[in-house]
Order: sequence, then C-alpha cells, then structure tokens
Amino acid sequence: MKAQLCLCLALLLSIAGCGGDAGDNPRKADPVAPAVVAVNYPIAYMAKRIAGDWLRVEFPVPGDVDPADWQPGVEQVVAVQQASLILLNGAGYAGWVERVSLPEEKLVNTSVAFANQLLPLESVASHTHGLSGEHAHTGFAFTTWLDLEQAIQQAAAIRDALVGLLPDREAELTANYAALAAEFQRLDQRWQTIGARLAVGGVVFSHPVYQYWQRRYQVPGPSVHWEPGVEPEVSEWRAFDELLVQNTIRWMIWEAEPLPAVRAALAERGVESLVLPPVANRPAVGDMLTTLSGSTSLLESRL
Amino acid sequence: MNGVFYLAWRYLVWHRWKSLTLTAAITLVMFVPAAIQVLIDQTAEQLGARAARTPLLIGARGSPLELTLNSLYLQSAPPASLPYAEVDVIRQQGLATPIPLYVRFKSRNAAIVGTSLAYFDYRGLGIASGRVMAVLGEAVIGANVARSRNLSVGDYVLSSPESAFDIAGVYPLKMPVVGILAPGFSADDDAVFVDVKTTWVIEGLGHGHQDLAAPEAARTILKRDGNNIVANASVVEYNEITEANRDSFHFHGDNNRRPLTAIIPIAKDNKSAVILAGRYQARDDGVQLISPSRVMNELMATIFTVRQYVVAALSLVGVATALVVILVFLLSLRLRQNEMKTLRYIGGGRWHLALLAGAEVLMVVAIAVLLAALLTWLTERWGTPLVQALIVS
Repeated sequence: MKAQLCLCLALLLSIAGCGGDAGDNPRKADPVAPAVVAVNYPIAYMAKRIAGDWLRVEFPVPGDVDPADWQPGVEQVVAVQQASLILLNGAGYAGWVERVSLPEEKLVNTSVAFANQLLPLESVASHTHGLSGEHAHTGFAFTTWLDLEQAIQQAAAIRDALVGLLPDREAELTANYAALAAEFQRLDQRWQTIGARLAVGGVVFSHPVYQYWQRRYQVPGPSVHWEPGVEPEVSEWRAFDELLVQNTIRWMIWEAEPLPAVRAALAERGVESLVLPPVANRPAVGDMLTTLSGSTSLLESRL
Repeated sequence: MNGVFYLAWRYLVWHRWKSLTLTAAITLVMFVPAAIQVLIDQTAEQLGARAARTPLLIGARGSPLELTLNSLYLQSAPPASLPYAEVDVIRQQGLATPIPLYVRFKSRNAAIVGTSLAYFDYRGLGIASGRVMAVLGEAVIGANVARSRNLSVGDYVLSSPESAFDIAGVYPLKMPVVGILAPGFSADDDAVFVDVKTTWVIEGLGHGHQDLAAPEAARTILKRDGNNIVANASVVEYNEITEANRDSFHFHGDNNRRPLTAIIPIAKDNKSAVILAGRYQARDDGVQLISPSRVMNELMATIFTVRQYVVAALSLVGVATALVVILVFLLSLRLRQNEMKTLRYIGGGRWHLALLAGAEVLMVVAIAVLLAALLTWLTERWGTPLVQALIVS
C-alpha cells in the first residue's frame, strides 16, 4: 500500500514537473521583446510591476549615481534611442534629456496629469553674465513619486503607454496597475498617519527632496543640505542651531542612515533622526515598496 | 542616286565651315526649346514629388512659397518663426506626429537643418556610415556635403556667421560629424542635420560656459547676491560641445517659446489631415497650415506660362533661322551658277541638279536633327544635376 502511494506521488510530481516548460509559459520574457527605458528607479519599478514579463524594463543608471544628476555617454544614449518607450519622470528630472536626441514619439512624461501642481524650487542658484541680463535656472521639485497620489497617477500614465505598446495585453496590464495602485494607497494611508504625528513635534529635512511628501502629508519644515555619510561642518552646525532657536524641531528626516556621531550630536540637541529614503535609485536590498514599507514600519515604531 | 549624295557630301565637306555653321544653327534652334522643355519638366517632377511627399506644412503666417522653399527644398531665406509650443499643440490633438524644423543657419553653402530623429524615417534617409545624432552638438551630413568637402565620420563642420560684420554675434559652433546619409537624390543630400536644440545653441539661446562657482572663474565675477552670481561678459562660452562640457550646456527662458521655422505634421490618416487642416484654417493667431503641393503647382503653373512665352519666342527665332538658312542656300546656289552650268554641260539634267541641292539641304538638316536629339537625350540624363551644380557653384 505504502509503495503504491509513493508511486502515485512520484507520478503526480512528474506530471507537475512537465507543466513548467519555459517554452510553453506565455509570460516568459522574450529576449527581443520591446524595451522600456526609465529615467529613475521609481518609474522603472512601476513599469516593471505593470508590464510584468511582457516587456524588458531597463534602468541604465549605475547604482551609485543619483539618477537626477546622471550624464549618459554617447553609447548609452544610442542604446536608449532604440527603446520602444522612454519613460520620463517629468518636472525637469534627468536634465540629460535636454542635451540628447531622443525619438520624441517614444517619450512619455509620466507627470503630465499633475503638471500644473508641480512645486517651483524655492531657492535656485542663478547667474547673470554679459549683455543678456539675468537668467535664473528655474525649476521644479522633481521627487514627484513621494506623493503617493501622484505616484498612482504616474503609474496610470505608464499603464496607458504600455497598453499602447501591447494593446492585446490591456487586461493584464490594467490588473497589474490596479494591484500596484492598491499597494500605493495602503502606504499612502500609513503616511497620512505618520505625517500627522510628525507635524506635532516639528520636523527638519536633511535634503530638499521631500517637497511633495511634505505637501501631501501635511508636514511643514525647513530643509538643510546634509549628506548621510558626511560629517557637517562647524558652520553647518551653527546654522542648524540657529534653526533650532527659530523652530520647534523634534525630528530630522534623512535620506539614509546618518553617521552615528551625527545621530548622537542631534540627539544631544533633542532631535531624533528618522530615515525615509526617496529610493530614486534601486535599493541595495528589496524594491521600492518593500524599502518604503520597511522604513514606514520603523517610523511607526518610533513615533 | 548615290552619285548625287556623294557629290552633295563632298560639297559640304569642301565648304566645311559653312556646313558646320549651318548645322550648328539648325541644331540650336531645335535643341534649345527641347532642352528647356526637358529641364522644366524634370525640375517640376522633382519639386512636385518632394511636395507630394509632404502633404502638410505648418509655419508662421506669411509667404507660403517662402515657407515651402525653406522647409522642403532648404532654399531661400528663413520665414518668420513660430514657437516650439506649437509642437505640443499638435501632439496633444492626437491627429498627427509633429516634426520640428529650424532651417536658418548655414555651414558655408549647406543649410543646417535643426530637426528631430523622426525626420530621417519620414524622408526615408538611410545612414551610409556612422549613426544619427545622439547628443547635443552632433551633426549628420548629406551625401553631397560629404563628397564635396571630403568629409567622413569624425571630421567637423562649422556653422557660418549670419553676417560677416556681426562682430558681437554668436561664435560659430564646431560640430562633429557622426553620420553620413546615403544619397537621397534630393535637397537632403546638400544639408547638414542636427538636433533642433543644437540650432538653438548656434543662435545663442543655449550655451555652456565655465562654472561661475569655480575658482578659475573668479576674475569674471562682478558680485554675488544671495544665490545669484553676476559675471561680466568675459565669461568663457564654449563654441564646441564635448564630452567634458556637455553637462554645462543649458537653455534660457521657456522651452515653448524657442523658435522654429516650420513643423511637418505627419497625419495619422486622411481624416485626421482634413480635421487638422480645418482647425488651422479657423485660427487667426499667426500660424498657418499649407499644402506644399498646391503651392508648388501654382509656382509650376507660373513657370509653365513663362515657358510658353519663351518657347514661342524661340519658335519665332527658329522661323527666322530657317529663313536665313534658306537664304544662305539660295545665295549659295546663285554663287554656284558656273558649277551648275558645268554639270549640265556634262549631262546633268535639271532634275539631278535639283536633287543635288536638295541632298545638301537634307544632309545638313539630318545631321542637325541627330545632334539635337543627342543633346536632348544628354540633357535628359545629366542636364538637371549639371544646371543645379552650376547654379550652386
């Protein structure tokens, strides 16, 4: 009896194994499937979540480079030109796009739906020279995805673009988008709660990249220009102390874990360090949502 | 009979200069009108073909002919400019794909065409060597430009100043040649193609310069006012876009207000083209949509009318020439009275003498007809490019 059971089990397992042939799997990515290029990791993540294995999503920026400042070489631009779609963040993100030749019919500005709600940068380095008079390099804050309502709109724009590329897969793409949007909405709810708690204590931001997050989750506060892995200079500490005099600040939000010495120095001043990574580039571990969700859990435990 | 033609031929050879002159005159009278006909027909066909391949063209309100010649044939002075915002207007309507054009500057006698990558696909232009432009400042040149200047991929072309006396104007931009187009047997063979943003750099709407925050720029600084740095006019602007300085290039002002000379809207279908045309007809804000075919047909009609006058005039000249030729032959016969008398004395009848005179005329006319036909055939093969080359040079 036992032998017969083992035989049946083996037979069942062998039949199950036969169903996993990659050649019969309709969702296996075609190595020559159209490629989609994204200018930053959040856009690439959204595109990958929506497209699944139907399209190759490429994000050519190296892991140690800020995508906003990335300058591609000629070979990389030539490769991007071959893509079927080039997904832009909008709001002036990726200034390199202004200095290259890309097929305009393939460009998709994912933030066009809220283009009239972009936040102009408050303090912009400008210069004047010659006879042409003053010209400031005006711009907009571009970390649009940190407002998850905007991120959902960007995902919708990506979905529409992908459907244009794969009209036969509209149902699958739409379903994938809906799942992603639902996850964004759940995280959005958590951030609403966190925002309310943070606003009570007073917040300063280590870098001016949280504008949309501040607006969406009602967390006002000044920004400084401190890097997580860099010890602030004496003059910067002095300016920070003046900031503490003028504002009630209990929390400081960082892009990444600050140096222990800096964290300790802030704690001495009554400021607790919290981490909310913008995930502009691919995280070392996990993906956009797991990283943000994990950071959110830590924030929730500290607040 | 053979004797008559032999005598006639020997007579023509003996009086070779007279014979050549008569033959040349008759040849020209027949060839010139035919050549004019051929050249005009070929030119009309070429112009018409290019116009037919561009059903619609958008530009600032003004001369449709100037807009067409500048945008399709890369000739004539640039028309009034229209703002780049019109490209987004067209795109948002969803009826057509817009191809921007900014044809204002030249590299010596070659037009610099600022456009997008879609232009090459639209015109069916293939790359013979190299690639299309990828980054700001790169140029792709037409086959004739490459041949006439002996250029290859890796060489450079310079933009020419608009005025030799504009000492305060923009410096010429040095552009690396990254691609050479395959011959297209059109105006594109004689052009230099760049990204439209590069033409804005040539115009001075965008530039790159040394970092004003860097120590080496200190001598150019007049004052610092908060986040604003004021520098004097000695700040070094780059006249070549390289890998090292490309990220310093920036544009000033609103992108939507930067100039174009024309936009080619590639309509999705005939219905979209009609709707688009209707919308532009209703506009009165300084932008027009034209049909290049209609413009060129009107131009050709004018040229054909002029041709008719010219051909009519040449026909009159032909009649006059024929009369002169007849007069020459009659005078020649008069001068040959003794010769004719001698021929009668040795047995030549009146009929043979008439045949002799007729054979001489026939031979001259026959040779002239053959020469005219040959020249007309040569004109048909190589006439148009030769005329264009002579005009361009």
